[in-house]
Amino acid sequence: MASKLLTLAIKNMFRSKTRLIATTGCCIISSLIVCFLLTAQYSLGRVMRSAGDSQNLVMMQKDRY
Amino acid sequence: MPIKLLMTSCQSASDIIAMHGVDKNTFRKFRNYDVPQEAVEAFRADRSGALVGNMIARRYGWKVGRNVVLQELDGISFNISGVFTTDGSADDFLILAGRRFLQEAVSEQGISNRVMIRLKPGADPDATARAIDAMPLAVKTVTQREETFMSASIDQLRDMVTISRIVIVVIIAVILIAMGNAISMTTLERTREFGILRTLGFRRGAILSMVLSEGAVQALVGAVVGCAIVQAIISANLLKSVSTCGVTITLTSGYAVWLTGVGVICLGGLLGSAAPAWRASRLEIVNAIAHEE
Repeated sequence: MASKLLTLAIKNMFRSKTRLIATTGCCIISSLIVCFLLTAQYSLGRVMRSAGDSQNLVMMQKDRY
Repeated sequence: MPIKLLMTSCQSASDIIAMHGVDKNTFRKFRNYDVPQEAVEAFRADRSGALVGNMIARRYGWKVGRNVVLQELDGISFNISGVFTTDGSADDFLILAGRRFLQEAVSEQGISNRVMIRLKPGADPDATARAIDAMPLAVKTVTQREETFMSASIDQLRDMVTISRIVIVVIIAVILIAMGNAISMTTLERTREFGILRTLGFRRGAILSMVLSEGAVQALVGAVVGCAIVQAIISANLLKSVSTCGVTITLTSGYAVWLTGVGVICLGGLLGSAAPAWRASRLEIVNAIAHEE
């Protein structure tokens, strides 16, 4: 039953190709942005985890950058 | 271990080159550098030798044995003794050279910018930092955990993460509207068809599932294609890193990122199509069949 419904749903999607392209395109672009932002967050988290695992201290002169 | 730090201007968010002048005999105690022993031996033997992070080596196409001149860093010239990798740290974009070599190259003999301190197992980092800062040194010092130091260095990027969370919520809202609109139009056009399906014995639940699955399938296809494009961009090195002053972060992804990305988009698709799907499943047979397009 579920596979029949899915087949029907997919067939219905192709009724209007313009609408299909517009809706899927919107999802693709949204997914691009979301995945890029998540990748940046994940990479930042990796660096922070790596620094957090270390047993190092960093000493610098005060008020000198 | 005192470190002499040299880097190009941080006005630009890309192509920042940072060199760390380190003690060639002790630098490996502070980080797990994956580098062949013969490269380390060559680094120690050559006064102008340098070990370069794998990401910066890839970016500029540097190979072992090559001589590199950095015009932007006072024309410093070094020989690449080896290429190292670290496990996810920001050091993959660093160039490690001898401290004295760097100090002499910029005529700042004996001057270092920071000191790395390796704690003994079990030592309290905060107490040790306080004790160091309380020592009667010639200059006042600030000592902090590497994590805190890194956190302060990448503060600008942390703002970006906060903004990105807001952007993700906005994107979900956009998908909700787009998907809701598309599925509403589809269901409106097919009102009579739903009436006929109900006459043929399709239950309300079946119609609801059918309309919902249309939204979910479109969102899923979009999400998978979007994720594949981002992975292709990262793999092709078109988008390699994000930089802030002194710290360059390599962009890497994992299954967690892709699953979250696909999940967020699919959730948007499902929620967006929920209202029109509910309306389609609640249609009265007589009204639906009498509906004119």
